[in-house]
Amino acid sequence: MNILSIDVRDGATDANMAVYKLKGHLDAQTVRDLEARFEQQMKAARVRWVVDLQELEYISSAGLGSFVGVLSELRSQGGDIFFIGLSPKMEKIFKVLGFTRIFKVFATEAEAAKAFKAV
Amino acid sequence: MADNEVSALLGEAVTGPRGLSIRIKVAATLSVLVALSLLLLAAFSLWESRQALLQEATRRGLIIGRNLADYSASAVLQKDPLGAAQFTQDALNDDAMLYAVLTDEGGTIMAIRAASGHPPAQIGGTWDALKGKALDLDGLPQGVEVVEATDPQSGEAVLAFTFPVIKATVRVGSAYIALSQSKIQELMDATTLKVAVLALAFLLLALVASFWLANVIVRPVQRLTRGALAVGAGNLETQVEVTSQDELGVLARSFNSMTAGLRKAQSDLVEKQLLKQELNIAQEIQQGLLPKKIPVVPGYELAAFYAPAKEVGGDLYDFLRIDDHRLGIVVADVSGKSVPGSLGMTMARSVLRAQALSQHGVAQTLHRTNEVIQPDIRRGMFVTMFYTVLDSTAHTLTCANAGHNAAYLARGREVLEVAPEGVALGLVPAHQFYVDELVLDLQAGDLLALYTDGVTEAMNGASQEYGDDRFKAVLSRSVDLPLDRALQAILDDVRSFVAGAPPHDDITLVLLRRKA
Repeated sequence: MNILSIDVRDGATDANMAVYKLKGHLDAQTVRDLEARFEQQMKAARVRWVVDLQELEYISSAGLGSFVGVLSELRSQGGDIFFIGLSPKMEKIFKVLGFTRIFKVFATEAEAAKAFKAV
Repeated sequence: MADNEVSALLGEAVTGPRGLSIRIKVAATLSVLVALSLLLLAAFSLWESRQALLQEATRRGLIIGRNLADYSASAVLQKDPLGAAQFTQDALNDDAMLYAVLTDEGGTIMAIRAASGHPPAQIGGTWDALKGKALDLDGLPQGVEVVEATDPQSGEAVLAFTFPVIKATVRVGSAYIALSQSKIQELMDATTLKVAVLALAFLLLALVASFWLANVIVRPVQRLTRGALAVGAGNLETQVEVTSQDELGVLARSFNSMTAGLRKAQSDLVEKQLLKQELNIAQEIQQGLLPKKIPVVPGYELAAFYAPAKEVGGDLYDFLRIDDHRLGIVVADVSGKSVPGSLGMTMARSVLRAQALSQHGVAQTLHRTNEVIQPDIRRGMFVTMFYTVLDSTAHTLTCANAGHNAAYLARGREVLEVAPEGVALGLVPAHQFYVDELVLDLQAGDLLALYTDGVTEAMNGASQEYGDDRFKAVLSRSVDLPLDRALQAILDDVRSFVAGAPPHDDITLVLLRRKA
C-alpha cells in the first residue's frame, strides 16, 4: 500500500496562500485524500495554492489530473496553482504532458509568492 | 449485494432462549444456599439452647438431691419415717419436681412423695431407679447418677437422679428424685417458634435479594441477548447500552465493535462487488476498443501487444486505414481508470477516428480531437496519445504527440527518440492547445516502437523502474529479429526485470518495421 502524506500550511509571507507539501506516492488511491484537502481549501475560499513536489516520489496520471480538475474553478475565483520543487523526472513528466503550458513552475516558495503578488 | 449474501455473512437465524432462564437458575441456587445455611444455623442454636436448659435443670436437680441426701442422713440411719417423710416433702418445693424417694441401705422405701399426690410405689416396697440414657456430666459427685428417662406413670420425659445417703462415710441409704423436662420442652418450643419465625423472615428476605441480584447480573446479559438476536435477524445497526466497566461491560463494548465490524465487512463486500462489476465493465469496453486484427501493409510488418493490469489502466492502441497507402497508428493512455477511464478513451478514440478520416494533417487531427473532447471530458481527465501516419509508398512516418511518451526508432544499433512536443488531449481548450508534427523517412530495417508508460515504468519488487535505458537496449538487441520474436524478446526482458511483481498499469506495445 503506497502512502501519501499531505501537509497544508499558510504561506510564509502570504497567509492567504496555501502551501501543499506532498510526500510519497500520489496515485489513483491516494489522490482521493488530496482532493478532500483541495475541497477544504476551496470551502475556506483559499484559492492561491503552491504545491511543493520536492518529496513526492511518484505521480500517476490520476494524480496529475487532480490538479487540472480544480484549476478552472480556482482561476475563476482569481486563484491559481503554482508548482515548486520539481525533480528532473517530474520536470520531464510536466514537459511531456504539456503541463508546463498550463501551470507555472517556480524554484522556491518565495518566487511563487512574488508571482501571486504580481497578479 | 443480494440478500442471500448478507445471510451468508450472518449465518443461520437464532431464536430466543428456551427452558429455565439464567435469572431463575441464579436465584434458585442462591435461595437454596441461603435456606440451607439458615437451617443449619437454626438447628445449631436450638441444640445450644437445649443444652443450656438441660444444664440448668441438671444443676437444680443436683442441688435439690444433694440437700435431700444430706439433711435426711440422720433420719435414714435412725430409720425415722416421719423425718424422712418431712425431707421428701421439702424436696417437692421446686415446681419442676415430680417425686422424691428415700430408701434404706437394703433398698426398702422409707419415704416417698409425688407432686401429683399419687406416688408410683408404697413405703416398705423396693424402689427401682429409672432406666434411661445416663448423662456423662463433668464434676458429678461420687456415686451420683443422672439419666434422661421416661416416667412410666405419666409418660413424660424426666431427669432422674440417684444420690447415696452417707452418714460418717458409711452409705446408709439412697435418695431418688425426678425432675420433669416438660418445662424445658415448653421453653424449647417457644425458642423453636422464635427461631423458625426469624429464619422464615430471613429466607423471604434472601429470596427477594436473590432475585434482585440475579436481575442485576442478568439484565445486561439479556440486553446482549436481545442485541445478538437482532443482529442475527439481519439488523446490523444494533447497539447495546454499556452500563458498567466490568466483564459484562467489556462484553457489551466488544459486541458493539463487532456489529460495527460486521457493518463494515458488509459494506466492504458490497463495495468490492461493485468494484469488480465495474472492472468487468471497464475491461469489456476496453477490449471492444482494441482492433480485432493487425492490418497488412505491403513492405511493412506490424505487431501489437496489450495486457491489462488488475485495475484497468485505460491503454489503447488502434490502426486506422486512411486510404490505400496510408495507415494511422495510435497508442494512447487515459488518466482515469476503470469505467470513467474507458468511457473517456472511447470518446477520444471515436473522435480521432472521425477526424483522421477527414483527411486532416496529423497534428491538425489531434487539434480537432482535443477541441471536440475537451469541453465534454470529465474534469481532470486527459488522454495522452502518440499518433503517427505511415505512408507505405513514400516510406514516411508523420508523427504528432499529445503528451505521450516519446516513440523509439531503432536503426541498426542506434535507437533514436521520436518526441515531438504537444499537450495531452482534454487538458486545455483549443486556444491553449499545442501539438508539433514531425516527419521521419523510414529506411529498410527501421524498427519503430510505440508504447505506454506501463512498459517503461514497470516496477520490480524493490520499486525500481524498468526505465528508458533498458527499453532502448533491448530494442537495439532485437532490431534484426523476426517481428514476433522481437516483440517477445522485449516482453521477456520486462518480465524478467519485474520478476513476478504485479503490474500496476496496463502494458501496451506496438512495433512497426520496414522490411529489409
